[in-house]
Amino acid sequence: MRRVLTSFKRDKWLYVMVAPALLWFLIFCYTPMFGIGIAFRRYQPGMSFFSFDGFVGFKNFQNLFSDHFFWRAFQNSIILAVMRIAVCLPAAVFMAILLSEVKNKVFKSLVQTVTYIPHFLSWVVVSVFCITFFNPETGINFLLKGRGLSPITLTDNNLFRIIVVGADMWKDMGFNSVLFLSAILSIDPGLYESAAIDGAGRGRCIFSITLPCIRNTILTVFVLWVGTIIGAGFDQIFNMYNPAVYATGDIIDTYVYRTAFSMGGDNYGTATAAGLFKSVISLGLLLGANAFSRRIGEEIIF
Amino acid sequence: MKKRKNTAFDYMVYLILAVLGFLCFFPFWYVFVISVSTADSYLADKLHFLPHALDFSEYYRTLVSSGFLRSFGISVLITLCGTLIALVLTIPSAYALSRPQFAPRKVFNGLIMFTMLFSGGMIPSYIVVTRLGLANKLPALFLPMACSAYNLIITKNFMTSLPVSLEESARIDGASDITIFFKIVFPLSKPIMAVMALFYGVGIYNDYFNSVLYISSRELYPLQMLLREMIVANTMQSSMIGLGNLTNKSEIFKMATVVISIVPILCVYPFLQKYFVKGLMLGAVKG
Repeated sequence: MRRVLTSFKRDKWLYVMVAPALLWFLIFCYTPMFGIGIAFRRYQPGMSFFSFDGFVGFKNFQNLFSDHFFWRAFQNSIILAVMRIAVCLPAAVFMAILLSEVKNKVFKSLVQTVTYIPHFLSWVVVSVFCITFFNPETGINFLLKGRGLSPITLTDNNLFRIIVVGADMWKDMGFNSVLFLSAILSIDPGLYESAAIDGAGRGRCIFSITLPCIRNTILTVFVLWVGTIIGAGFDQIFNMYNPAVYATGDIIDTYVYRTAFSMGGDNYGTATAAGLFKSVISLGLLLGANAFSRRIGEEIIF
Repeated sequence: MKKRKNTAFDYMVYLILAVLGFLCFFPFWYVFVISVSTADSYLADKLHFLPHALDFSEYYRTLVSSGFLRSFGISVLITLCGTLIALVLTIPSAYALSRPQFAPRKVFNGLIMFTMLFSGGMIPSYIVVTRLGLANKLPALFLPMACSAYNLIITKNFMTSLPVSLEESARIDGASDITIFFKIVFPLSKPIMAVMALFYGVGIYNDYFNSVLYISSRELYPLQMLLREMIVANTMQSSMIGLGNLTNKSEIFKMATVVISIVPILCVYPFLQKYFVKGLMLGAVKG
């Protein structure tokens, strides 16, 4: 007990320094976690946040699971997440490899400058770009129409997901490649030199040296993405979608938002249940992906 | 390594990267071309791949339009306030959590890491923020974003890598933790502070989620909210009921507004590029 007290006295300034951040996490992260009880209540605005007034058991979940719009949103979230990982991750690795093969410094920094810029735009701006670019009357669609082809629009259910993932790639491909590029640059150049002496071509080097050496970086990014990607995308989808493409574009977060805020306030319980379901699924996926990467790689994240 | 001559492989790499670079650049160009069109040139060439006019009058109209400058001011204000608060929350606590002698370090780290794995979700967070009395108030736009486990971990890793010898000699001279922090650690942390200021600053400036949740009165709209209202909502309606041509004048106006709204980002971009890349590298060093 004395030891605890002395160490407390000795480190008093450290406690003072850490206190504001802990308070922040308590208010903005942990207090909402206690609010997941709302998923089991018939919550009315104004009711106590922590109590169990209006407890209804699993009724909100029953409502949720019998709503086919929820399952549609859930399915869309999963499909979009899989598409994002399957397309954007390899694209970023590909870009990093290409950049690492460029010898001309000016060209390299020019390409980096141009491809990193979109990352710093907001999703509102990027969706304006998309809406303008795929305007049914002008630009690329004017060209397509002139050739008698059907236009690419944001109201087309067959194309919406592809446009969403494309916009994602446009925004972040260059930027996501930074991490992989730094991993590639830290590879021992001796490996490439000895491979060259043994007569390996550059394509051969990419597959036998570069990719195996950055495997752990790829796995790490993969695990982090799996954990967050189902939750990601509210800003993007909310600004790009429209009622015509709810069938393919509605995701859990936009579903939660509409359930809670577009139909009065008494759907908080169901909306919280949907959010809780999403949190649990992404936690499960994150742990699953982590176990998977632990099996095939040495790197362990959590 | 001796210089090799360019091979077919090299030309292929250059070609692919040039195409990717062009694809990243082209939407900017396209929006710019529309923004400097006149109503006539907008209708004359529907491709908008090349500018046929160079008319900045819609830029002027944006700048004098009611609301734009106010929203822009609000965005700048919340970005500055939010970044400042975020630094106050992140830097000292990361230092404390990086000290090996700090007994509850592991527990606190665990508590912070856990928030990366699980969250209460949108509705409980919404209720908490509104119960704090922040509904329709500007702090709602930066307080919920003023700290993050990920940034704290990056900063902590940086602090761990600082040389301990300086600190030890100060301690022998009788300096307290707070003196050490302000006199030694603070000056050495400038690079990570720049990185964090940019991470938080860009995040807050570009955020849309919090404003759509918490801000309802138009006088408090930040820029992203104004853009969304002005552009996304209108375009959706007009393109759906086939008014695309009637609204071409406002189409030019909208694009001018978008261009102006991304100018601040382009102005700080050289810093962004330098420090963001640095920050990502710091984050890549696993802690």
